[in-house]
Amino acid sequence: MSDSRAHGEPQHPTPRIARTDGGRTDGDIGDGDRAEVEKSGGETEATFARLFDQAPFGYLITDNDDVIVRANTTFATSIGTAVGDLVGRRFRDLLPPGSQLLYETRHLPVLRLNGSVGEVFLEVLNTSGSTLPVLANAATDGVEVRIGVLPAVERVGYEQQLLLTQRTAESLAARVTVLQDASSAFAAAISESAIAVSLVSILEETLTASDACVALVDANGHLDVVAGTNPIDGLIRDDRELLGANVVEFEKPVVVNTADGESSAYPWVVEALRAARLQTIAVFPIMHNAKPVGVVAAFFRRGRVLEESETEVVLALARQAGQVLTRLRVQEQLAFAALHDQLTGLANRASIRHSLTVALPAALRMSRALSVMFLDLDGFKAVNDKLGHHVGDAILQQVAGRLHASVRAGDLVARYGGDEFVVVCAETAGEEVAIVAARIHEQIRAGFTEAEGFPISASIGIAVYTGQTELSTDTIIGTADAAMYESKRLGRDRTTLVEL
Amino acid sequence: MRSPGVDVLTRNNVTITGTGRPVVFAHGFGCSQDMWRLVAPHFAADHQIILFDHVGSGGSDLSAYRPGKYDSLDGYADDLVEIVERLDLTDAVFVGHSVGSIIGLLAANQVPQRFSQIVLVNPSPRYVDTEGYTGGFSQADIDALLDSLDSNYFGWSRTIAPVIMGAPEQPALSEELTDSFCSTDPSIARHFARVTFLSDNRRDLDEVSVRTLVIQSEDDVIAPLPVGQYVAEHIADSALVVLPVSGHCAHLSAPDLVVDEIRAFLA
Repeated sequence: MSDSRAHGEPQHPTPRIARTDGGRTDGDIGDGDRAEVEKSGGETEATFARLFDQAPFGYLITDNDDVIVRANTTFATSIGTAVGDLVGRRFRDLLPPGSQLLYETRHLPVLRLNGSVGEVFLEVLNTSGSTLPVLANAATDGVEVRIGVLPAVERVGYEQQLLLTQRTAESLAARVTVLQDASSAFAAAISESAIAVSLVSILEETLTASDACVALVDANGHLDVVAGTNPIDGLIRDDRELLGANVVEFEKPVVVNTADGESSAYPWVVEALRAARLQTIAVFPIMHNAKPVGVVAAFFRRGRVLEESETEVVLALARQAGQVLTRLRVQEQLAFAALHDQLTGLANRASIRHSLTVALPAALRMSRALSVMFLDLDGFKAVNDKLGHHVGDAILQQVAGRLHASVRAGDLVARYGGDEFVVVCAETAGEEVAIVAARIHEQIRAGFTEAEGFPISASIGIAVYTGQTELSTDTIIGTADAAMYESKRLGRDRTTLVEL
Repeated sequence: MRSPGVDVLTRNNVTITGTGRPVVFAHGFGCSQDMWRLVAPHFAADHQIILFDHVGSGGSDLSAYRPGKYDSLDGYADDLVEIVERLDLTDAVFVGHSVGSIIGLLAANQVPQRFSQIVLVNPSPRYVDTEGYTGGFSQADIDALLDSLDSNYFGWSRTIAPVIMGAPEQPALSEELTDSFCSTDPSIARHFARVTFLSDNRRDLDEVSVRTLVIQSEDDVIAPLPVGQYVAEHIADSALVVLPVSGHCAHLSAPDLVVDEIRAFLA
């Protein structure tokens, strides 16, 4: 401290400071000094020129029309050219098209409106043909634009690695999420249409489609739209030539773009798309166990090319949906089997008893009649014993059909066990039910070709409930059963009617 | 399609000033209604000025962004139709820049009775070259743009980076984004860029029935002169004006010239 005061301070020449400050104080100094100042100013100028030219980053000045008026050597060298070749050119002409798009639509607007723009990532063309990634800062005073350009090769390389990793991770994560969401949505679905509805919304989201629909192959082999919107007529009609049918037949996704025009394999689809202001349709098969069970279609309002990864996700979704659809169909079959007789397809004992426990209180409430008919075949045991069970089974199936044909649409027919059948006729009493019974006698008596020479008839007992007092299922069936035995006792092939 | 209770004027950040014949201004890709700052005020004295942001841009309601709807320019046009109908505009002038101009003519094709004049500034119905048509860009160029968008949004991507590595999600970025100028949500910007630069609306030009002025920059790499000529040729009742300006944003680089041309067209 004391040293610097002793030597430094008194020797500091003030005029020299004034000179280096830019030589604006000429009035105070003599001619000899003036030359020195000019020389010094020139040095300053040169210093600034060098600072500009050799700056450790690219520096350009353009006019308001983007035309380069100055550029430093650092920048020129970084893209393999000379400063003289840059002046007079537009800065944007140094950029490849992708960067031009960004420069014109974002960089320049922000610069003009805001006065400056910072850290814009651009690529600059190198005379060698490659591109140089840079970060650009720019500022303008309304007259000229100053642009600082910092090469960002390493940073960009690193970021692009990260970006790539991020995109892969995102697309994998998105894919997993989509499939997981689908899986839980499907698991919660209790009907075909609920699955189809989930599939439609998942698809719209995954592919950013404007519409989607699901069509399933029905019992007749036709496609039937069960969920979503189908905005075009070219997808599904009763026509094998149509798109959906083809996807089912060839089990492969099909994408149709209106841009394909006349050269499309599906010109009628192109027309239908245009009419609906759509530009692309993508149809995927819904497969299960290597069999197509339907299609899912996505509609787009602009021309789209689906990436392979997108197609894969949709096919995986469709496969999941196909599995669940099949599971549901099996469940429906099981539910049907639990309530139906396998041989005849009629309701079974459990089913008809359940129906009666519902119908009896209802009849009581409304004071309406209800008749239960108990039927046992006469002469059936001999057929079974002498001609075999397969003939017996065939006759039971035919009896089921004839019973169905003899009753009204709302009546219930069940196979109660062996060769016993029960018919429940709602809102029916006395004479009406006797007419039905007479028709049944006639039908059964008509004989069966498989059992020629074996007379078969029906013994029938009818319990008529008048709906006046409470009655149990057991009581009404027991009464009809007892009446049937009375018919047997009286010589078979007849009806005994009991009122309750 | 629109959810009930959503006010389209809030959704699209609609701002209205002045009185008189309505003029609706639509911005293009990359910014917001701010883009019209140097032009729109010149009409406020004798016109009703209607400015808005496309959903996903500027001060629009980002929660209204549904990728399926905005996967085509029709989705944006539907919004514009809703705005015009909500305000019950008739004899309206539409002025759109770049992709905003295409959105406007799609809307005018839906409700031509509401518009009497259309001004398209630097329009392009298709950017990608195809057989018999030069849009100026290849598919690879558009991919490069999408990549540079990603790189430009890397600052934001970086804040998302912990998520990739399994860290809990960061607080919502949207507030931070809306604070900065011409800001936009990165993933929406990416999708909007894709829709803007990969759409093909050439067929829609033939259906325009409203009187149209095409304002073209002499030197515009994004929508070059032949593209402007193509647009004018395919719109039945149209005129083409080529301004002696450079760049894709004539309304920013030469606002006075653009104002003069619009005024002359409206007179």
